[in-house]
Formats: sequence, structure tokens, C-alpha cells
Amino acid sequence: MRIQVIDDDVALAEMISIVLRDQGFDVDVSHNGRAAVDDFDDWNPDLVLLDLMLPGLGGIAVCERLKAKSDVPIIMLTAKTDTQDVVAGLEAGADDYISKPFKPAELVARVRARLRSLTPQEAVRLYVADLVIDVEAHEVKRAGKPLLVTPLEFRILTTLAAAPAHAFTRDELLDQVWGYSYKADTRLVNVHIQRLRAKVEIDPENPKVVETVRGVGYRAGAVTS
Amino acid sequence: MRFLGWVKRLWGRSLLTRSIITMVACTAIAVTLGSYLMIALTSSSLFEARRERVLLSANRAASQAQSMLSASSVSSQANVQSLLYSVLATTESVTASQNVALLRTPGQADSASLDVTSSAVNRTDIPLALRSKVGKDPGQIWWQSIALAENGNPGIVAGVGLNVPSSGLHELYIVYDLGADQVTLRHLEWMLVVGGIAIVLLVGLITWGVVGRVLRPVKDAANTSEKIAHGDLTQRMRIRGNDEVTTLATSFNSMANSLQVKITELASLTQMQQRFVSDVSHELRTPLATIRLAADTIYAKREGFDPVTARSSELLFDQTNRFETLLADLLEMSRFDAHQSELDLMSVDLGQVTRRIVTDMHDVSVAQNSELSLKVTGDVVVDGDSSRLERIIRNLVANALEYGAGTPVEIQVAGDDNSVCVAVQDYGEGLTRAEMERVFDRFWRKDPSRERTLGGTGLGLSIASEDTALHGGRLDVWSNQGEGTCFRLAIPRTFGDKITGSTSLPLRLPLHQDDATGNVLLGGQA
Repeated sequence: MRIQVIDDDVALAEMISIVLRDQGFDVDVSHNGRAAVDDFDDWNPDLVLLDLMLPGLGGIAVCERLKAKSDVPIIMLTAKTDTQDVVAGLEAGADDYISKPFKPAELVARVRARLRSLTPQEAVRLYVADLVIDVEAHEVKRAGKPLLVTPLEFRILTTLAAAPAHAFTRDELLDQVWGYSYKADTRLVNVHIQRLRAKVEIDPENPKVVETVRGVGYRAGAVTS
Repeated sequence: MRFLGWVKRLWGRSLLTRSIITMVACTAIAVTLGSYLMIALTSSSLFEARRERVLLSANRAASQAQSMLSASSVSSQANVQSLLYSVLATTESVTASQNVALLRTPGQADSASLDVTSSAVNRTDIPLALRSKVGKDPGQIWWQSIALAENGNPGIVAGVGLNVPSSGLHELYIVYDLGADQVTLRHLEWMLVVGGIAIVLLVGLITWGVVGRVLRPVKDAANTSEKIAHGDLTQRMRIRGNDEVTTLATSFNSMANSLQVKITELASLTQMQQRFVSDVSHELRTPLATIRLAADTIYAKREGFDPVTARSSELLFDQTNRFETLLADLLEMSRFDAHQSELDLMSVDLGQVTRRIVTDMHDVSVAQNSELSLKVTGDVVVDGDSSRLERIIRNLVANALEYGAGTPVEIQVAGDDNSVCVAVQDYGEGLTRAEMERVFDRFWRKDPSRERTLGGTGLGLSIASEDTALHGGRLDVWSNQGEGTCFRLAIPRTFGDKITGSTSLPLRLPLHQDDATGNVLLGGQA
């Protein structure tokens, strides 16, 4: 498995590489944003670790560019934990984020969680609100027209749809979709649900596909079609 | 009654109203007193003058009547009677009064002559007191003030004795009507009332004008202050003339100037502090991240080191942990100070949160030999930031385990309509009064020399109290030396509400509360 580390701090980038290589990963390092995008094309990593604060092309811009190219999972590294910085990164397309400093075990766990091939769902077809989900083909359709969602968003949708009566807490979603819940930030869930809604809801202000259950979390909307 | 309340409010709120009301009241009192005095004096002098004229007239009439009587030489009854009638008529015309009476003095020998009176006379107008005076001393004129029976007007009755030939002593009474004078007095009274009211109104108007003028700069100052208080620091007073008011305006303006400078300075300081927080945050964390990874990696491989290096790696690992916690706490405090803390509001079940903490701290409670128990009663959901609330409760439980000295740690979670409380009680050494006051201070530790078993930076309770304040809640401590300590957190159910009255949990829990329902016992003696 190949990991691309993008961080302008040379020492940190090297230390991260040491840790990951020790765990059996191949690691390449980029030190600025512009180089990172080019390196990505050359190396074709399976996962990207991206520091938000980059000179030149900023971390958010790099994230957007990489996501435009492929669905490779991106984990943000950030020294800032202010909500607006985190949310900005997540909205740029990052799948997860870790705040510095972090333990090596944490980093490795998150990396593995993102690289784990998603366990196959039992169902072949799932229904939620007026959508049809073809699990094998990884497609979501409304009235025959496919909707584009990222693998993570697809995963959220199928998790909710597979247990239609169950109201998932944010921790449960983190566990089932992201692969962990210890020391997790539920803002991850909030932002990704919002992004999902923006893509699949007819009216994101009045969600019918992913319903909010006050005091608990989220639930798949009732099947209508 | 409501009018009175309105007047009271107006009195309190306006200097002008107070001045006007005071001036008007004083003027009204002065005018009223003066008017009374004037009327009393005028009335009595009018009366005096009238009485003099009355007595003069009565005197003249009496002498004329007496000379008429003395000059006649009648003897028969009928002649006496007609003589009396003509005396009566003369007196009437002399005094121009239709109210004359010629009465025979009682107590004399019987006679045939009768009393003669004018047509208008009312016998009740002649008081008995006067008759007896005239009877005793008929030689001089007696008088008395009366109220006329016919029309209620004030009047004077004058009486004198007359000698009637062949008939003895008679008494002549003349009743004078003072009604006209009364009318004059009434007119005077009316004029005074109208004049008085006019004066009072005039005084009120003048006060309004003059005082209003004088108070204008004061009002100006008040308005300018209000605008400044609302945020417009550039407002100033107008400076005119060269009197005391000018001095007021000049001083006010210089005060406003220094206020503006200070506030602008403070605002930029706060900005600097906020920038500091985010800059330091970034700058410190990146090298710390590298150190963290390196320390952890070395620590993980310490088995393969020689004892010196192995021990060094342990110390490095421990202290890196401590440094990381300290940095995180310091940055959190900076954020509180710079008012940069954000509240991520959600519905939080405090029972669930506490249960999770109790489970997490199970191993610690075993190590400390402290039995951890939790009791959750009813609906304990609040609006809040779940990570902050968890941090608070975690800190309270950790402190209880650390300082509980092996005694049981009891946690209760309960709520009422207004708020939900979490109370953490231990039965350890307790705190003195002085210690209780300082327990929330930054970096205050109960015993500085104490070995820190659970880590801790001395900032735990400070951060907990700031987190509580963010929620609009309360964090109280109760303790008795040798008995134990109880920390009670109260969070309002709805964000924005205030904690009202007594909360749902007492501050002091009784020892080993015996309750079978809903009790969850964890940890404790192995």
C-alpha cells in the first residue's frame, strides 16, 4: 500500500514516514502544494496524508484538486482545531482528519481504517426515500438517473438504508462508516451528512433521504417510491 | 392610584419636572396662605368700618326717636300707640332700614301699648342676649352680629332703650343687613383665586423655560454619554460660551477622548491575543507532533535498549505526554481569555456521558481502591457541547479518585424542569474553607508537593469552570475537612436559560446512600 505524505515541515514528514514504513507501508513525501499535485499523478498513492497549512498552493486547494482527479481517501493533518478550519477542510473533500500532535498508533489506525476494503453488504438492492441503491454496482439512482457520491458518502447511505428503522448515533456511524469511534470528532459525521444531503436531497433544508433524529443522530427516510 | 405612580416615575426621571413641580407647589402654598391672610384682614376691616357707620346711624335714629317721644304729650292709649307707630316710621326712614322694632321692656307694670315692628322684622333676629343687655343698661347703644333669618346674610342688630311717656321703657332695635359687604368680599375672594392660579401657572411656565434652558447642557451630556455607551466613541459635546457649562463640556470631551483611546487599545490587544492563540497553536503543535511520534516510536522499542537508554525513553515518553496535555490546557485557557471558545451545541444525555466516563475510569478506580458508583434518575438530557461537558465530568471524577484516599466515589445525575445536575462526592480529606475558595484558581493544587498519580496540570478545574460558564451553568463545591468533598455541576436544560432556585441535587450527599433502584456499582475493591 502506498501513502503520499504532504507536509511542509520536513522533520514531521520524515517522522511520519518512519512510523508508516515501520508498519509496512510505502511512503512518498511532498513538501509543497504544487509539487504534491504533480507527485500524486506520478506515484498514484492509495491514500494521502495532507497538512492543511501549506505554502504556495494551500492545503484546501490541493485537497480539491486531488479529489477532482480521483476518489483516493484523504486524511487531513491539522494543527488548528477551530471549527471553521476543520469544516473547510472536510468540505473540500477530506474523508477524515487528525489534529497534531497524535500518537503513531492513532495515525496507523486511521490509515488502515480508510484503506480497509469496505465489507460487502448483504443486500443487493437497497431503498431509501425515492432512491434506489445498487450496492454491487455502487450506484445511487433517482427515477433512473444516477447521482454522483463519493465512496464514503455511498457507505453512509448504505449503512443507513440497510437498517431503515434504526436511528444511528454519530458514534455508531463513525464506527461503521469510518471504522473507529474512539477519540473521534462527531463534526466529521455532520459535515459529510451535509455534503451527502447536498447531493441527494431534492431540498437539503427539508431532508427526506437522511433524516435528523433529535437527540440521537440520523436515520434513513421512509421509502416512498 | 395609577396617576400617582405615573407622577412618581416622572418625578424620579426628570430634573425639569422636579424643578417645575417644586416651584409650582411652593408658589401655590405661598399664594394660598397669602390669599387667606388678605381675605381675613380685608374682611375684618370691612366689618369694622361698617359697624362704625351702623352705630352712628343707630345713634342718630335713637336720639331723634327719643326727642320725638319726649316732645309729645299724649296720654291716652290710642295716642301712645299711634305715637309709637310714627316713631317707628321715622326711624325707618332715617335709617333706611325696613327692619325696625319697638318693643316694650318686659318686667314692667301692665300697659295697654303693644310692640310695634316693621313689616320685615323677624322676631328671631333680635337675640335675647341683646335684649337683656339693653334691659339692664338702656342708656347706651348695644349691638350684636347675627345671621339674618330671612336670607342668611350677616347682619348687625343695634338696640337702645327709649322712654315712652305714659308707657315706660321701650327698646328700639334696628337690624342692618350686611349682605352687600358680603358680596364685595366674595368678589375679592374670586379675584384672588383666579389671580393665584394665574400666578402659579405663570411660575410653572417660567420655571419650565428657565430651568429647561439651564438643563440643556446637562441633557446634552446625558445624550452624548448614551451614544458613547452604545458604541459610538467619536461623539462629543458642543462647546459654547465661557461659563461653568463650558468647563463641563470640555472635561467631558477630554474624558471621552481618553476612553476612546483606551477602548481602542484594548480591542487591539484582544485581537493580538486571539491571533497569538491561533499562531502559537500552529507553531507549537507541529514540532510537538514530531517529538510525539519520535518519543512513542522509541518508547515502543525500549525492550531492545540498554537500561540507561530504556529508562531515558520512558522519561521522554512520560514527559512528552505531560507537555502535550499542558499545552492543550494552556491553549484552551487562552481561547477562553480571548473569548474565542466555540460551543458545539447538541442534545447531550448526561447519564450516558457519565456512564461512559465511569466505565473508562474503572481501572483507575481499582488502582486507587475506590468504589465508583453511579445513580442516574429520570430524564437528564440538556442542550450542550458534549466534549466540553464530558471534560468537566471526567475532571471531577478524576479529582475525586485522586484525592478520595480510597473512599467510595458516588456520582449522581438528576434533573428538574430547569436544569440537570451531576454531583460527584468523595469521602476523603476534604478541603478547608480557604482551600475551597481557591480550588478553581489556575494552577492551584491542593498539595503542591503531592505526587501526581493521575497526571493533571492544575488547570483542570479552571477549564471546568470556564466550560460551565460557557453553558450558563454552575459549578459548586462543598467540603468539610475530614468528611469529604462534593462537586456539583448544574447545566440548564435549554441553552440560554438561567439556573433558578435550588437545583435537583443537594450539595452534600449522605454517606453510602442506600437505594436499590437504578444503582450501578462499578470498580472498587478487587
